[in-house]
Amino acid sequence: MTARARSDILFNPLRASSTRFYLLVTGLLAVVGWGIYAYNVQLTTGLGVTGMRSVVLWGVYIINFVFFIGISHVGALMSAILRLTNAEWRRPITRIAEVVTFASLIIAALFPLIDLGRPERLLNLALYARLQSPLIWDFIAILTYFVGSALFLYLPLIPDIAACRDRLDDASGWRKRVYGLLSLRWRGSEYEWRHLESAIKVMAIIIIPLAISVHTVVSWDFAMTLRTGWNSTIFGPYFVGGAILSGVATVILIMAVLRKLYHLEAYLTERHFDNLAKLLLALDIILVYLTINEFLVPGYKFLQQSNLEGQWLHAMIWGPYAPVFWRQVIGGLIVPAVLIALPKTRNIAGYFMAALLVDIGMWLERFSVVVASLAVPQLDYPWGVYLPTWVEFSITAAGFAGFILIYLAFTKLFPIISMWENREGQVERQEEETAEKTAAARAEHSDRVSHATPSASRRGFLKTSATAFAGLALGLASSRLLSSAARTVEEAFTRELGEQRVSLSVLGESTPVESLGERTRFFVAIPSLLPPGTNLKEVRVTDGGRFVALLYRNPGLRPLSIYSEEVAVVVLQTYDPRVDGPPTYLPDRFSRVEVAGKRGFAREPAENEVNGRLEPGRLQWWSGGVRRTVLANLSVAQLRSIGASMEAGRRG
Amino acid sequence: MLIDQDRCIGCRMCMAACPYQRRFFNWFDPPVTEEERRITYSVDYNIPHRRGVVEKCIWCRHRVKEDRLPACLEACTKAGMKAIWFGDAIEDAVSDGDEVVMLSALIKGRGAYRLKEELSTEPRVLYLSPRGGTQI
Amino acid sequence: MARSITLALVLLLLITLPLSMPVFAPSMVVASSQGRGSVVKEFTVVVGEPGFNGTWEILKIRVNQGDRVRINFVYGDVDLAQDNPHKITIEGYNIVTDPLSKGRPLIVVEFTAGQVGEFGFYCILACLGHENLQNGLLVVSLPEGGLYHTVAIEITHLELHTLNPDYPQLYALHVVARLRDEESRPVVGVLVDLYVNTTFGPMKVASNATEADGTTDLLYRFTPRATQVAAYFRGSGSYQASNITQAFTPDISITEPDTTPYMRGQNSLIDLRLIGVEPGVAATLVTVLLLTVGSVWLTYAYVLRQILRIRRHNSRSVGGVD
Repeated sequence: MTARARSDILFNPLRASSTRFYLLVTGLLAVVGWGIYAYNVQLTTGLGVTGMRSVVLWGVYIINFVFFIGISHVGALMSAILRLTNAEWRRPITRIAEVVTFASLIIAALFPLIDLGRPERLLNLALYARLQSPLIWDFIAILTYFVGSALFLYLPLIPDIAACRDRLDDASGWRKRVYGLLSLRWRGSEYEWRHLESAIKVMAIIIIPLAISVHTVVSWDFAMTLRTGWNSTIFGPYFVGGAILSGVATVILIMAVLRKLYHLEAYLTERHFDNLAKLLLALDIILVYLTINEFLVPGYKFLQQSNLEGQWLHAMIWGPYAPVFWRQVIGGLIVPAVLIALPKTRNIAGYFMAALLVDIGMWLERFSVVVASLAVPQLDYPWGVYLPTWVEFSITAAGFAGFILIYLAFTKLFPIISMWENREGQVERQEEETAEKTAAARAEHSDRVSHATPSASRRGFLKTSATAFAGLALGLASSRLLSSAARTVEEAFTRELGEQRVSLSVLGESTPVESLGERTRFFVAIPSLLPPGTNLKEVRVTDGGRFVALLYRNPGLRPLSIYSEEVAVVVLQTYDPRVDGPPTYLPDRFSRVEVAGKRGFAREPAENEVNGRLEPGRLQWWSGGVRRTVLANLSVAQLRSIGASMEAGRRG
Repeated sequence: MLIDQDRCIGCRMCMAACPYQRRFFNWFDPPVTEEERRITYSVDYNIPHRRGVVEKCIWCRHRVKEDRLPACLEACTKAGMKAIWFGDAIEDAVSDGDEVVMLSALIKGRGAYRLKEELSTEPRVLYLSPRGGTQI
Repeated sequence: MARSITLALVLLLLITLPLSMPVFAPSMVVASSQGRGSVVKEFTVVVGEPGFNGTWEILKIRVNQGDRVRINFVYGDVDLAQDNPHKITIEGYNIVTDPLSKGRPLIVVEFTAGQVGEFGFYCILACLGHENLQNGLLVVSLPEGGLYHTVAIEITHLELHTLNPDYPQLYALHVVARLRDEESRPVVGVLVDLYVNTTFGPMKVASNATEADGTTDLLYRFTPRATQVAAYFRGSGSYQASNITQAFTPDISITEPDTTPYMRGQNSLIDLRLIGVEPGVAATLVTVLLLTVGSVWLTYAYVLRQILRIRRHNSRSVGGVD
């Protein structure tokens, strides 16, 4: 088994893809399409479609942002640190880690944009930047880190792109051109290697402090405020520790999946998983230590005190956020450590489970950090409540799907294991022969199966694009179908301000009296003295009779301009025992009047100075917990006579 | 302190930072009257309210510029309670709609205090102790 | 020239400043120039934890307008273990006593009660029994009969000087007003108010009682935007005011402190000023930031150079692909 045939395994994903792959991509694109639709809903309606409100003002979007920035640290750790310390076992893993960094940074940068109330003003961040804001530091740091990690991904990739260019003879034209361009006409000469190695070394050195500073700066988004729970000095290390932990866990997950999917058992051996798991355990313990610091120190001082810190601690440990907190600590930190430590679960399946739990735990940890501190009232206000909505879940799912998609796209374009680095290390390794032999046999088999024909690449391209369109269309269509029902209901209450109309539903979601059940009884004073030609058009009732509106039509009177339909006289009756008289302060042009001995106020119909519309005359008076209003384009005297007739007349 | 509604990107960082939780966000399209729509926007107004930006009490700067007092103060005074004073610290003068007194005298005489003094936010909102408060 | 005069007056004022607020008026005062009940009415008030004169009920001291009032404040908490100091202030007359304590059990306050009205006196320290010591009342009433006098007020001295050269927007306005009745006799013990015009309307900024010679010192920490300074005597009891001094605006230009650094349009590009941070510190921080971030980007530039070098090397040399 030649080394070349063995390394052909790495090129198999680049040559062809199975139907299973296309199905997966379609599914992921559907999720992304659903997410796009959800974002569209958010763009048109406003950020209120999420569960955030002015108390808990940051939610799932910022949590995802911090999470994805967190897992982006693994590139620096795996690649850079292990490179600099010459750890041999890192060789197959470096590119996997670097792609995790790259893909997660792209997704991470999207989430704050999704969270913005005015995304079209994004450029203001650069134009009117104020250096004091943690957001600007975020912007600078993430931009710098992104460029750095892109370079750090690209540099070791150059020799492998050259290999792709050389060995993938059946790749389509544009792909060959891309490979040619990106490979810089790499030939592997002494000069080239020298320069590449020095560049990689420099990047490796600089990317470590860069990565640490990026997440520290993101943590300062929270730590630079004066809020309880965020006003902590160790937020930097806490976040960086959590970031590296979740990054390593993500790499374990991805490694396990890729190993299965692309038959990379030769490269990603049990030993690699063992080492990564040990790293995970070490980081886990560090994070437990940091969590203890974060909670024991304020706990010693403020547990069960009534001040803000005490309230926050109570909320985290026993209160509404306790389920999240304990799930994060026990499920995300303790259980994975146990899984890795026990010999029974010290296999790839066990590690996979542990890594999954860690990732979920880290997401929950960011949830508790962001949401709990926002919910604590800083003064004597009520607590905030946060319930994420379908929009947030959809966009989160789309974010994860996007991450996986970018990853998969990368694996289809470039080899996911760094071949030249592996070869470098292989020269020194001899004990791997037996493992390689069995892997080689399997590879030969798959080699025969997946040798592509010349036209397969074009077919592959068509398949890919067809899948892309199908997936996105599926996602968008399904989401539209399901929510169109909701939309029709919503439209019933939409206000069309452009045409200056107000739908009658503004009268407090009232229903016509005919549609009320027979059980509802209410009393309303009906005017007996109305201008001639007035006919009752409609009676609308809300709230079991607490609000009654009598709408009259009168062709002889000017219709009220504030309603969309032809209504000339409106009589409103509201039952509110809290108020029994007119306010002490009346706006301009209102005068105090009495209607049959009851106190009230009134205003003549007048033209609105600003828009020229005729505001109707208004008469409003109180009588024993009931407020009655008459609106019409009549003088106050006429309105008063109508009102008096109501007070005197029959009730029914 | 004013918010430029033309520049705000709606990131809500200021809301997270405010220790008094006194900034509010327009999560939906807020109701806007016709006359509000026609106002030429300037930072001194909170109107027209817009979706996706942050708002706060701006002490009725649009009224103060016309030598009037904030709306809350005027309402309180007309209702007879006169519980709110508004003024200028440089001029050392505050008014409750009727009288004008020296701010320093009011602070000393009514035992004015600020909330969350320990955070060094130095807010310009002072709370007066009930009459008969202790002077130290 | 003006500056040295001002300086001299500043020094003079700084020396006389503590004396211009009557803590307790000197007892050797000619009291007879009043021509009205110029008796000295003496009262003793025990100030202690149960209240004035041992009770929390209202303590009324009744005098007539023009009387010379002498109040002996006696420390009444002798049987308390700890010292319980009290500081009594008499409203309207701007009188604030020194702390009355074990070490100083007697404070005598003497003044002419020229202003008719009811003036409260109470303790302003957070002492034991503070709430019981709020009910003092000095009632100055007009005796029946008697003549009415018309009083004219004039400003005899006006000065504006800086309080602190480090803060040039702080000025002290020192006004001396003199009251004389229609027979040019000084009017003693009445209140003169100093008003300035602010953005919100006329505001009373100082108030002081006239001394034996009819003059009174009014001190006001003059602020920018204050205009139309005027001294008022509104009349009291048997004294009727005949005029208000002419409103004047001191002729100075005060630069207002720069409190509005950011207005719309100012911050038009990336703002390197840091609000609330001193310029030197801000410059250092910005430089440090630029250096650190800049060095990272320089590293990227180096890496790019390596990449370009590789490419250039490959495109220059002849030969096919391996």
